[in-house]
Amino acid sequence: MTLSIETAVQVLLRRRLRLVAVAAAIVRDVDAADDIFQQVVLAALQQHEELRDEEHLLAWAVRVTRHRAVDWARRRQVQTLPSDLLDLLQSTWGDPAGVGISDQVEVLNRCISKLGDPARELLRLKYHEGLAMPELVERLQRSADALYQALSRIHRSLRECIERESQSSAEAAAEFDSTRIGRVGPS
Amino acid sequence: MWDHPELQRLDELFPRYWDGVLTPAEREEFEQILRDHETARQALLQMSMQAVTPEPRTSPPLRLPEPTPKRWSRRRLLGYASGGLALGLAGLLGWRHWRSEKFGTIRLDSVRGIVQVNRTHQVAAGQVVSPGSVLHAVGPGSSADLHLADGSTVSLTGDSYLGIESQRLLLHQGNASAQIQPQNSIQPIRLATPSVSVSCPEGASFTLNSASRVTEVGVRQGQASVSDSSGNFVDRVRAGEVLAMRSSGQYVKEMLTSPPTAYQLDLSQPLPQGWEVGYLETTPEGPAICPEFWFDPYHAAVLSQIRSNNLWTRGMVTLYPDSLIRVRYRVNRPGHGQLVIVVRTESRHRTDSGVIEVNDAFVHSRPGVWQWLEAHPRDMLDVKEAPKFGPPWVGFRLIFNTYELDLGLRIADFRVSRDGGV
Repeated sequence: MTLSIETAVQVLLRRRLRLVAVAAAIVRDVDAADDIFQQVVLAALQQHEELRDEEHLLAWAVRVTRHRAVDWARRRQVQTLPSDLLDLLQSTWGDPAGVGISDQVEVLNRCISKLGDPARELLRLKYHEGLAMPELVERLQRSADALYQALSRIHRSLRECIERESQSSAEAAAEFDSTRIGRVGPS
Repeated sequence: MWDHPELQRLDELFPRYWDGVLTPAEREEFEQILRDHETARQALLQMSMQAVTPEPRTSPPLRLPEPTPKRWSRRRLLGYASGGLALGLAGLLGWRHWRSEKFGTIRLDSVRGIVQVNRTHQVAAGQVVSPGSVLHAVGPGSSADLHLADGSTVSLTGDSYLGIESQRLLLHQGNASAQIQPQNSIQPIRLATPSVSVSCPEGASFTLNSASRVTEVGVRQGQASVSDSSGNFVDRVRAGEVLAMRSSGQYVKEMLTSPPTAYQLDLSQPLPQGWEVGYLETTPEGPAICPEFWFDPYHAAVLSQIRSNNLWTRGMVTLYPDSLIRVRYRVNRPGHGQLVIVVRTESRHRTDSGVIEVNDAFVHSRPGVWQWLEAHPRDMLDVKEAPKFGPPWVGFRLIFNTYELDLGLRIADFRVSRDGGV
């Protein structure tokens, strides 16, 4: 059995954030990561008949994304992580269960919206505008060290927020399930 | 789980990893943390998601839309473009609810070469195209002419993908040529790419070319209205004009002219927007194009190739049988390979295309030495996909192919002349 083109596209769009992030973790360039994701979607359109199921597709897409990202980095002489480490990362990132990896854009956006304005602005300038550190230093009138520390704190606080939100969602789901079982299950 | 000191250290190192400014010791530490801890590998992906997640919003109250900026950031445009692509592709999913009254029946008037639907079934002339289909004209010599219920026609040229949606025809990649009748409907037929949408309520004849970073709209008759992927009006293109929109959101509009009979690829500049396969490398002797391995759908194999951008609308060069094609190249070892020029007729609105080739181009090459390959189009016609139309031919794509082997090919010059031009 193979995946239909519709299912393949549906799965890739649902996993878009993860796949763009896989590319970005290797190439460290958000625009390039977007381009790589689009290449992967086109490749999936061409090869969907060879993909068995959703799990296979995700593992395939992570592998193709990794290789395209590494190719991109080599062409631009950007140093990449060693192959053995990329093998480990690919295995973790291609896991459909993805324990600890939230693909939920809503959760991430909710956590980002809880950041203060300066922190959000720093995220925007650094990643979305792609400003290099010297430009950030000039724009924000802060030292590079201070900015790196601020970015580090932002990532930590987002990580903790996502974990909290994911936990409370899981607890709410569990509570809902137990209530439902209590209502309809055998007494 | 997240309180590990190693994870906190990862937080510290990540922004400088992103910037590529870790010291060797820090880099080693960064890599070791990732090797030792599964949670660190998950955390790296989480942080990368934080970097790439769409621009954060703060649940703004309802407000009037701001004026559309004239120039968009590439990131923003790509966001919308990929959103457009996503919507276009996602549209594949909802076509069971397709409203047939929009386009009515779409019939394939004629098919040349291999044309597939959803990359599974080959289609033939006379067949009705079901909603939700993605048509693929496989290879340079293939094409398909579609007939819409209102008498409009849309033709798909070789190496192109066209999706049939409820409100529009979406050209994912390649070229389409349209002859649209005046529209009586409130919502006229639209032909779109992932980054632009073209409508012509009063009817028009135009071509659309979609590549990864640039879309071109060339109008022969009438006028076409071009919008970006979020529906914002961009510009009106009149007969004889071409509008080229880049992924940065910048666009240029100029008059369409016949392609020259002399041409030289300028490698002192970055490769043109939309260059498909291959990249520029600086060698001691100057810049040269290097091939890459990529999946060639025509050969259904991963091949080492250089493929230029698709210049269907403008054309690259006008070729006559006696034109002189010269290529300066180097290979590390001789082997099988070909120089291919994909050509069309002088009319960009006809879908006929073909290829002219030099086969076994590098079999007798001297390894490691820059040398010239010279050929005339009249000697490049003994191939299966040779043009079925006479000269002059308009070359619109250049391909170097060394099949499954990387021969170390480098291309330092490509030029065409006639009567000693260039």
